[in-house]
Amino acid sequence: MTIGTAIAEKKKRKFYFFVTAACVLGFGWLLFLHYAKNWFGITDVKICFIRNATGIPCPSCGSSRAVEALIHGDVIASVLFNPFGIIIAAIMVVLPLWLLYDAISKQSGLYAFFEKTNRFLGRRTVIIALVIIVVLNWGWNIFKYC
Amino acid sequence: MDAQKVDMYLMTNAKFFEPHQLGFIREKMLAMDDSKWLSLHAVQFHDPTMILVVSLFAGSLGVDRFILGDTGLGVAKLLTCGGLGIWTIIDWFTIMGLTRQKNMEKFQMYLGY
Repeated sequence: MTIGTAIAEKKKRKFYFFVTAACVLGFGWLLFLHYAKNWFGITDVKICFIRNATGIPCPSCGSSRAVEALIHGDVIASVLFNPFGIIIAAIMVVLPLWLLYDAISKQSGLYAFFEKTNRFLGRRTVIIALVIIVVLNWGWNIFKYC
Repeated sequence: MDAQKVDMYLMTNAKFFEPHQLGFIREKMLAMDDSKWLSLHAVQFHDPTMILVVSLFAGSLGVDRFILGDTGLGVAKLLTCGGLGIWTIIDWFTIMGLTRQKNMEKFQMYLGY
């Protein structure tokens, strides 16, 4: 194995480790919110650095509640909390399934898709569109919380 | 390339790389011919300290990742409010090493052309 492919293999393994850890963390967080609400009656878990430090919400504030609303089937409430919640929920469904598929079939389709997405997202028009979307959502969040 | 030029370059640009990579860079630069001197200066590296400052202030928004070119990860960081804050904190500690790694990759890509 040349140095080049060894480095690429290491990168791939780090990627899959990272993604698996992220999935565990994501679902763990949802479970935590569920039990915090039902066992301890804690309803307001504030985790955003920006909101805790400055009082202004960040673009993804409310996405946890949005995902919870989607789990209960309430799409409108989900969008009202944070439209990004739908994206996050979709990722949380697809990611574990794809991870499982890659693990069973010993392929790395997810990593290849990630690299392709990275190149796509690097394009100028895409970046500008994303920035506009994020700023708009951020503005809406600020409007909702202030 | 002239050893004096190489050492001058390394003195001003050592902060962009990990200490153990400097030997390799010096070797490769000595093997290059002098005509590459100007084009090497055109290669833009990211200052690890600057990126750390960005990470400390805007890490939750994924800006540090976007600057380094990890757009996909940056989006993920932004969507999850800095990975529920945990990723934000982890990046505070790892982003400088990561920046140097990215700089090294850029240098190697420059060599490869």
